[in-house]
Amino acid sequence: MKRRKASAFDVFNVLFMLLMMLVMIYPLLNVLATSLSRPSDITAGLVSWYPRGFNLVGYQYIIEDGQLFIGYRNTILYAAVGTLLTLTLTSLAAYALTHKELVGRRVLTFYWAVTMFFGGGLVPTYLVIKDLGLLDTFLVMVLPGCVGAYTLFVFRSFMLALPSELMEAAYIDGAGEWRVWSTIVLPLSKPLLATYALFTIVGHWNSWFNAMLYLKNANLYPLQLYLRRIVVQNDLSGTYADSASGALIASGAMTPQNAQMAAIVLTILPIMLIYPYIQKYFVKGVMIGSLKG
Amino acid sequence: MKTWKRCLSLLAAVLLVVSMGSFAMAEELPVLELTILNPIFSSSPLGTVVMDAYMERLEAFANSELGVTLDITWEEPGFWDYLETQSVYLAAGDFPDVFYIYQKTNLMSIGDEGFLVNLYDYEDSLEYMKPFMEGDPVGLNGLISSETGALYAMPTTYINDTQTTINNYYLRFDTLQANGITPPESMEEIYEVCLQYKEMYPNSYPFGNWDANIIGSVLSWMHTNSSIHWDGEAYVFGPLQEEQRVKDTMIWLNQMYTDGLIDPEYEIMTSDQRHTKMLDNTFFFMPNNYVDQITQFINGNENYPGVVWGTMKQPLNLYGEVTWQPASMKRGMTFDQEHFTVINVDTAEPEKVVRLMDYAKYAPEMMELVNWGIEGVTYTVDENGEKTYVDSIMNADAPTLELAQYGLSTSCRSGIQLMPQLSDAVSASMGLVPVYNDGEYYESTIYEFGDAVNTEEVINPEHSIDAPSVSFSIDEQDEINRIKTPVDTYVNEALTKFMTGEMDIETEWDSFIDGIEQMGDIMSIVELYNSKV
Repeated sequence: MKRRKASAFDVFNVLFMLLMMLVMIYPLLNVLATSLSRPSDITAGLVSWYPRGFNLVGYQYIIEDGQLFIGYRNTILYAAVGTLLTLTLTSLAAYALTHKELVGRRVLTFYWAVTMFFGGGLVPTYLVIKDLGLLDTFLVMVLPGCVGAYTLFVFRSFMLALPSELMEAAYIDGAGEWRVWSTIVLPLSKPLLATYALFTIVGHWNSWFNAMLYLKNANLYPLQLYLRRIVVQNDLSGTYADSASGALIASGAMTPQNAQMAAIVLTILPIMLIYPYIQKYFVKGVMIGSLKG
Repeated sequence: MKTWKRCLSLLAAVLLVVSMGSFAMAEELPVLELTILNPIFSSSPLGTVVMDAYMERLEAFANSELGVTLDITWEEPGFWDYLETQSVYLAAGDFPDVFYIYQKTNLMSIGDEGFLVNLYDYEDSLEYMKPFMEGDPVGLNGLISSETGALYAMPTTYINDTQTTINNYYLRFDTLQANGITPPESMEEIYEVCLQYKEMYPNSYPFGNWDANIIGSVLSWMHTNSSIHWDGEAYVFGPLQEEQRVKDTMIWLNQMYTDGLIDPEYEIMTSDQRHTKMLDNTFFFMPNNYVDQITQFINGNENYPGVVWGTMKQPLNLYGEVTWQPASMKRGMTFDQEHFTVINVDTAEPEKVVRLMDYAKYAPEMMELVNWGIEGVTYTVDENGEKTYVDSIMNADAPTLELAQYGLSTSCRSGIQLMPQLSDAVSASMGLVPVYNDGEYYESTIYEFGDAVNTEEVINPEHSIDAPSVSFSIDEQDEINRIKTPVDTYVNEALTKFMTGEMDIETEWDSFIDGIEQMGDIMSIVELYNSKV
């Protein structure tokens, strides 16, 4: 078989992609390098894509602080419980909407569709959350937004595309709705569930705003809120430093960037390790919304 | 048998007496349940030595003076998060019994709508706040609602026996001494000395600044401002009513910038980059910096052991006037005008809560506790009654951060939201700073030195105890924002261009002034400010 000769376009394409790759990788390398570098080199602005010296004090501070692990625990719980709730409730609601005989189907569909375009606003939402007694609780991080209208319609579209003969056969054999949903619809929806499980997990992993607004108990804070405090808000060496970080900085053992970059590395590491194995599901998931309904 | 019965009877009698005593003891005080929203800066003070002592004293006061026992639920959101979400909580009417409000506009808005207790209804209960009310009548006046005449706030307060600030003029002493240069005492001398430094250190930008607002710092030196400010007699708008001062300031800054004496990155530097430049021979003079930054993070830095920054008296400006300090303490007992503790009008037993908060925030023993700590543990008192922090704190690498272990730092501050700050405690914790005066280099606490060398002339009239504190209604604030915001933006952008040379002062100054008048009727806002005085 004759090997195709690389064209000028191919060469340009490869070079361009290499350049894009370097542009995207460089900040990550800089973060890693800064987290490991000597304080004096960091403050002198000498750190680029490789560490200068070797300094683990930033990691030591973040790990000993302990809040990182509380954040991890909470985020994993929010992601796990939230995803389970989302998939269960969304698939149930979507399954119900596939039944033409459902009373008020059109009204319900319209009701949910409106929420895709209009929101109540921050204050009314806060009031609803407050009146439901969800403030400063675990459930406030998993219940609001649990069933999204867009996701619901994607689920409905997918389920409508399933062979109706399977369901009919099950009905003939005496299966009830719960049986049909759990033993026929759900197993056939595995690709859909896997995709939206990923999206939901990532959404929970990244969320911080609801936590900032609805949580006052630090033991419930998710990982991203902790990260925000370390990286975005806190001047670790300044007037509002905590004693541990301030003492380490005053002694020259670390700079604020050591700790900040260490926090970033420890936060994104799990996702970066897992992502290569689940990337294909993301790609599939992007297309799944294009199914005709 | 009879003996046995007698013993049983005696036992029953004893049990009866004991149970009656227990019943008497079990007649407990009624419980006052409170939710207190207390924003924190980093770690919670709950569980620290000082906070435990604080709670004990609060409970004792509640038992003896109010006849109740306390059941307090603390809500501790992050301070900076709370500032962002405060507006949502206030709009939603989500008020705990006691909480914190930032900024007077929010205070007046919520108070005037009837959500907050009017402290004047319980004026007789304000035993500990009264000395502050009497000591700072101008400050108090600024806290009274112009709509209802009510007082809603228990603000942060200060007790100062000094007018000196911890934010001062700093110079690289080691290089001055090594090169035999006399520390410059005026803006003209600063320019000449900076030129010398530029020759000695070609990669340097000798005139640095602690924050991005180098223009504002130097305008303050020249006794003016880029916006509306109090000049001691009235509110004025600097660029129009002190035009020559502003222009002369910009001429000086332009000369400094053009000659490479000001860092082109002055606006975008992070604080860590400024630290580096203070250490690596980039900066040598700074119109303002904080003493704790100098003594605890700059001087004695392990990587730069020879670097010594120090302070001296305020230099003279281009008009021969003593330059203003970046900020000044108000001598005496004074009110803050931005940070407030307030009480929900729906709280059960408001009078008891008012008395409790009055004690919690302003009682002398409580203020002393959250500033000095516990005698024998964090501080000692000599025969003259002078307090000193213990050696383990003062000998630490960073004493102010060592204090945090006990719950005594700004970040781990015990008490209820930004408790009153005592200047003697602050001074003691800062340690000694290198100073220069009358040809002599030595060390001193910043307050002792400032009070010794600086006169009342260093006080910006806006920071004077007599400076008015004005408040505006919501409509007035909207009008101010509508006009003042674009004018301030236009002025600040133009001044930056004048400094960098992008706009020429000689040829474009007049059009700049004309442009201000076209941006909006700023003088109507000045009149509004003055109408409130």
